[in-house]
Amino acid sequence: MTDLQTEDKLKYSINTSEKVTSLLDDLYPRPFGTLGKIWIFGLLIFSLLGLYFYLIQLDQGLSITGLSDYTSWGIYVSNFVFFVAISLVGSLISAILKLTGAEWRTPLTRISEIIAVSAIIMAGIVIIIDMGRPDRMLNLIFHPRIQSPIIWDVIVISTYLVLSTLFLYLPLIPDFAIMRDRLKGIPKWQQKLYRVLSINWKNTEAQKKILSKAIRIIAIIIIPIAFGIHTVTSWLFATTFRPGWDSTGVGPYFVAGAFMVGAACVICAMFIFKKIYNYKDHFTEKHFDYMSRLLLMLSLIYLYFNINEYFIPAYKMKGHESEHLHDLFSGNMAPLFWTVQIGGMLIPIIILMFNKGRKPLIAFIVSMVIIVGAWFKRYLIVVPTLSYPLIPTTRVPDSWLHYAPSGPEWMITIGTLTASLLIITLLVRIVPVIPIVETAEDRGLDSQQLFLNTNEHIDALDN
Amino acid sequence: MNILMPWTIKIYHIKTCLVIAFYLLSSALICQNDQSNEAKKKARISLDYFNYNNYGPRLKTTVKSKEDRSYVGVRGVRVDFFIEDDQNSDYLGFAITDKSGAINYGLPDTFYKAIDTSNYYRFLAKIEDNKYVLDASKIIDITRSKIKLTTQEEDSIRSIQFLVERPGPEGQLIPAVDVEVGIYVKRLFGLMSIAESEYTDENGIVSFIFPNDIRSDTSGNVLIYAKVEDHEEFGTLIGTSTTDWGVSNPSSTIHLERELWSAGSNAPISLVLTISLLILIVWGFILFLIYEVFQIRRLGQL
Repeated sequence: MTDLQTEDKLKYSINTSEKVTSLLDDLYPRPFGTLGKIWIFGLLIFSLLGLYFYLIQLDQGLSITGLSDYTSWGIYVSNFVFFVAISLVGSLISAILKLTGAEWRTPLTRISEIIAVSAIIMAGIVIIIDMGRPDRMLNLIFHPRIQSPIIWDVIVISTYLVLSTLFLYLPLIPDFAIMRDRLKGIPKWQQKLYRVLSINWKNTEAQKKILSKAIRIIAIIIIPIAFGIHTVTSWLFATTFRPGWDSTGVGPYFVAGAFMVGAACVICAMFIFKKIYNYKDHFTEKHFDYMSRLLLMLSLIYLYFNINEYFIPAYKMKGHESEHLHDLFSGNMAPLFWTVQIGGMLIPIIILMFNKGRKPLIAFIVSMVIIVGAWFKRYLIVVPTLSYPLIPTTRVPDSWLHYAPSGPEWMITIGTLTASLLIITLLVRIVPVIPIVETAEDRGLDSQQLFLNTNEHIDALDN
Repeated sequence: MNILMPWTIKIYHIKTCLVIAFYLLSSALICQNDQSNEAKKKARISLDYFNYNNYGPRLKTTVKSKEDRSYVGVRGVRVDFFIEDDQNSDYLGFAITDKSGAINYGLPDTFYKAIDTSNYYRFLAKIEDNKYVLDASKIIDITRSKIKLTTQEEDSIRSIQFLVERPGPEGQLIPAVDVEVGIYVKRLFGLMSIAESEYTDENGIVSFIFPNDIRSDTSGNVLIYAKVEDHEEFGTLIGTSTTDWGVSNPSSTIHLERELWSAGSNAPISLVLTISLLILIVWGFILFLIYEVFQIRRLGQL
């Protein structure tokens, strides 16, 4: 080897090493600044307030809520459906886009998996909150009735929770190993955590092969389970005869709505991390444009299902369905219904159709509106139909005829929403928001150079 | 004079004050009385006599008052019951209306003593000094009667006979002719008619053929009711008899079969197999993935 060749190789090596260091510095999880600490404090306060009111509910029962014999599912169940919907985002971004070969998805995968895990944990907690006697949850395990959609939901939610956690964890193993070896000056608990979670990862070919196979398997099986979780949740409604729920199209209607709100969540998360972590190079205008196009397509599909779910029953206006639809279209629920349908779906669709509407800031605002609209949409799906009991009862208390969530009910619900954000915030404190290894590979860097303890890297350092 | 004047005026004032006070007090009392009467509602009272199988006759009363445009039962009204003849009025007892304004009153021993010598009796139900409703009363006249329900099966034909007897001119029991009798079987929430109502013949008897397709409990038992309803002389007469003429309901064991609506332990096998298979497949993959994680860890230790 001539001196010139050796010099070029050294220059290349130094150049690559600088790029790697720069990338790693950019992607390592960062400690909270002042704003972050205030954010955590605020979330903690609301989550603890929610917990406090839940303890009161445990003591006094569901009588402290606005629930009654008529409206037995209120904002707790709406909130549950909302969380289940959001949890589908992991499978949309990480699994579906991975299998379709969309390479631009790399920076979005980790955050979408984090959102999915946080949402499915909270979905499981919220449904227990809705139980007046949570200890009876054990009856579902010890005395299950396999014919009941509630049991199916318990099975599919617990399965999806495990799969989502694995789907978040498996691609993180190499990143944990990098942080284990390279991150200095971090607390001992964090070092220990990375050491345990990186499970002796040395980036060997055998390890990479196993991990790659495992990720491919999970990316495939999580898709039917993701569809299953929201379809089974929709069956909780569709297997009854209630107006608004008694439809064969509720499954795809729920799944389409879930993908829509999930995509909106990812856009919001992208915008926030772009701002606070200065991830301009990772979350580019191209990413916002592509995600906005995806959101537009999903919104149009959801609009199509909405037309089916409301127009066809409205054309027939049969029996109780008529009362329910009149209440939505022109009754008590009309202001909320039309605000959600127009403000939370039609206007965002129109905005997203234009190039300017897919710019980061506008896409973020539109996505926020879609998320808020999606929460109230779940309220409109769950609550109004319960106001029309199929067996009319006379002389019921006036309070049964109208459902209004009580103060404690709101506080508990807000507590669950903030707890979900708290989980996301705490997770991004210890894991990279953007996958390190995949990003390095996308940028043409040799991922092997990311690992300090590999033989090749040790050789390079020696040279 | 000058000294007496103030006293005179004073006494005059006291008298005036007393008169005014008396007037106001009495007016207030009258008003209060009027108001309390106004607060009370006019009561509508009904009184019916029931004879079940000649045993333990009962009086049924309802007290209703008008609210908006319909009559609704009044709860907590005391009703006193009397049995009377031309000379005497014997107090039987009292009862309080339930939430639907009804009383089902079993007649006491006093009643049996009073009717020893008579085949005709008059009942009086009376409301007095009640705080919810105005005073009201109701009288019914009842002629003593005797009923008998018999069942028989001959050549696969099942028949029911119902005999009604009444007091004759000399006090002896004679057949009651032309009394309308209905025939029913007991169902879960009421009585189901099993034939057109008929009138008793010159022997005081009415006969019905029992249909062969009446559903029963699992032992085939049905409770037959022959009923003279609200007769102007006899009141309501009810004869009952239990027979095993019913067709036991095969659907009563439906919950024991493996169906979607059965208990968890009786879930359809196909459903149990399908769900178990799906769980096994998915959790099989999950366990395999966890195994792979341990494999990665093991390879790192080499």
